[in-house]
Amino acid sequence: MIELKDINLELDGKSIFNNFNLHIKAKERLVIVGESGLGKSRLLRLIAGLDAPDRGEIYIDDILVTKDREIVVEPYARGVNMVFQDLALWSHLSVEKNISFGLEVQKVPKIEIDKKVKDMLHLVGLDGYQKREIETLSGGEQQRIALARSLATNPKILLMDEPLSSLDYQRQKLLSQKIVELQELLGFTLIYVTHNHKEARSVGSRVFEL
Amino acid sequence: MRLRESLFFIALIVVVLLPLPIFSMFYNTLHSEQGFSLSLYSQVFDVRLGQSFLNSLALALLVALFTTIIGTLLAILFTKTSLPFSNFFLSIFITPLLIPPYILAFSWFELIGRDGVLGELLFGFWGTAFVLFWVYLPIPILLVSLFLTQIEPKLEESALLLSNWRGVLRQITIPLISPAIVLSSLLVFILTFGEFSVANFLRYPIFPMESFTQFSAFYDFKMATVTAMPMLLMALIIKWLIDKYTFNYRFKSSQKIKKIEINRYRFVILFILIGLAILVTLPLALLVVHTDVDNFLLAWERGFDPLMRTLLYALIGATLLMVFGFWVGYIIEKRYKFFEGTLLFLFITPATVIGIGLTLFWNNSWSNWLYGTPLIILLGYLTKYLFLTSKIAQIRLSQIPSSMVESAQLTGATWSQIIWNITLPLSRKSLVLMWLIGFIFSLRETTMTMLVYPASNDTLPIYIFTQMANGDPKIIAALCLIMVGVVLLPLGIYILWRLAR
Repeated sequence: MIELKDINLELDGKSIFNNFNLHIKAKERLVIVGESGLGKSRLLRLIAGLDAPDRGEIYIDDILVTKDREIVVEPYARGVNMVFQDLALWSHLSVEKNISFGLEVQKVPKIEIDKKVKDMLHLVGLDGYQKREIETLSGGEQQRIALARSLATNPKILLMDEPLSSLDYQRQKLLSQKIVELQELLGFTLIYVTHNHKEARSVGSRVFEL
Repeated sequence: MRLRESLFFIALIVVVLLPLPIFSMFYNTLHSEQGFSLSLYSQVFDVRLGQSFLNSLALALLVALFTTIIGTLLAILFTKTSLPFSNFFLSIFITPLLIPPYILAFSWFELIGRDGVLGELLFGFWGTAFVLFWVYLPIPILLVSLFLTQIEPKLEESALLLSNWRGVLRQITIPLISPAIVLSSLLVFILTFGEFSVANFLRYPIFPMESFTQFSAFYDFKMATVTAMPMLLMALIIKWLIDKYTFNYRFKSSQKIKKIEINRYRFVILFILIGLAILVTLPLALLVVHTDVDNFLLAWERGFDPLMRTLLYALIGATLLMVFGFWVGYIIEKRYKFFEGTLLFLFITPATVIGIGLTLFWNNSWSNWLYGTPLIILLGYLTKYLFLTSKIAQIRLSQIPSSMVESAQLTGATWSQIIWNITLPLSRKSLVLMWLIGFIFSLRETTMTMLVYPASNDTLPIYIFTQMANGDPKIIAALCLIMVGVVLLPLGIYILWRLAR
């Protein structure tokens, strides 16, 4: 469960959030829609702990993780992962290393890491891609690797910031179905940002207009 | 010929003409009166020369190792953390790169003298390494800082969701800036290897001295050329390594940097940095104590003509470096990438080798209009530093979106209209920076100028260097202060200009 209480945020003299409140249930698929510049991506960054508001509190599973400008719980300790709009894949690392990074940090044994990487690649339909370099992948493949990377650490909450915006309609449709399937299979809470209402309806169990 | 072709032609001439003296030098070592011969090279394997070569190698390795480690740490501190006064510290630490290196050696000598344990250490391997460490520390600081500004914050943010900053630095940030770390260690290595003035002042025998002595003391030009060849070979090896490991990097516009909060360690780090900053500035600041008003006025009077010449040559040199740097950068970016390698090779070739090459090539009856005049000094500046200014131009040009030029083309603008109205205005900050870099490096140049300057045309750095052999220390201290002031003044104006904007 995620709770945002009385969030206030101002950027470049413009108020983005003014006493904003939001409650997200566990295992929910919440899609946030809205025009550019309304703070959709900023909301995800606040939940992830990459940014802090000017005022307000954020709770994850009833634990206070952000209070005003203070990050109380560091991003990596929130059980959150994120797929960025531009994917932010580490091009100096192979596909395998991109996916295993979080597991290596958690000191998971090598044998388990290898299995997890294999499983994740299978899950996103890219079996055998372990040794591939990021730059050799197509746009759709990169999206799937970003998804696999974000799911490898079994996050409780997955944040997705317009992850399909650069794909054509056919690929968007296929991948959004895949995301829903994975969410139902793995049971994480999904918070998904898009400006496309059609995409919002196909992914979300609830659509929140910002 | 149209403007476009003329400019390309001029840039081509510059890039082809500049390395000619070096190639000609090498060719001459292989040809005696009897034809092709390698006999001259047998003398290079002399025991004394071997020892000085090893001295230079050890010095270059030690300085490269320590500057890279400390410089990388400082760059991360200044650029990536919430450290207060980081720009102030950055300015302090880059100052030694801007002044002639021997001035730093002289100021340390003035501070600790020749006697005692410290004095004995200063005059030898450790003292030379210590001074050169401060001289070249700015290179990794600047290069690593530049690469840190290129990292997309999201690459670190996505790792921050999985790890603390230590893990992110180790696995994401440092691998991403590794080209800068390798590049700075290679640059510091080769620049230390070729640096002559500090070791000369601190009486430590190094390899560049051999060539310099053969040339200027014994007038044995053949031997001077042959002893320059190992330095040339070293420059070639380093250039090959730079090409292989670091040179394919494409610079983007600076990114918004994801900063590391260092609240907990802030005071300890500040304390250490203040200590280090004192080590950099104290010897230079104490030059004031080692002179007085009378000697300062005397130094001003004696050094006035060399100072004016220095300023004049640096003004013209900087303008030439800016103009040619822009065009050469343009043709490198648009068409002839391999020219960049030629200019890099000339930049890392020791100044002694460049000086000897220029003299042997241009000291002819047909080219006395060039060699017998200050034009040879300006040609030397272009040879040595065109890489720096053309690289700045090239980076800037690569950052201008092609759509900007294409949209101008769609309006029917000609090539020169696009250059004047789009490319040059978009590059104006880089042009100012190119001019400033050209000015400062021309001002501080000593070794190459010392080998080529025509009679009665000595510059202030040369005047100070010759005074250091047997001049009055109080006058030398005053001259050094004038030199430091002249170099730092334009930099101060530039910083104020940037702040005002």
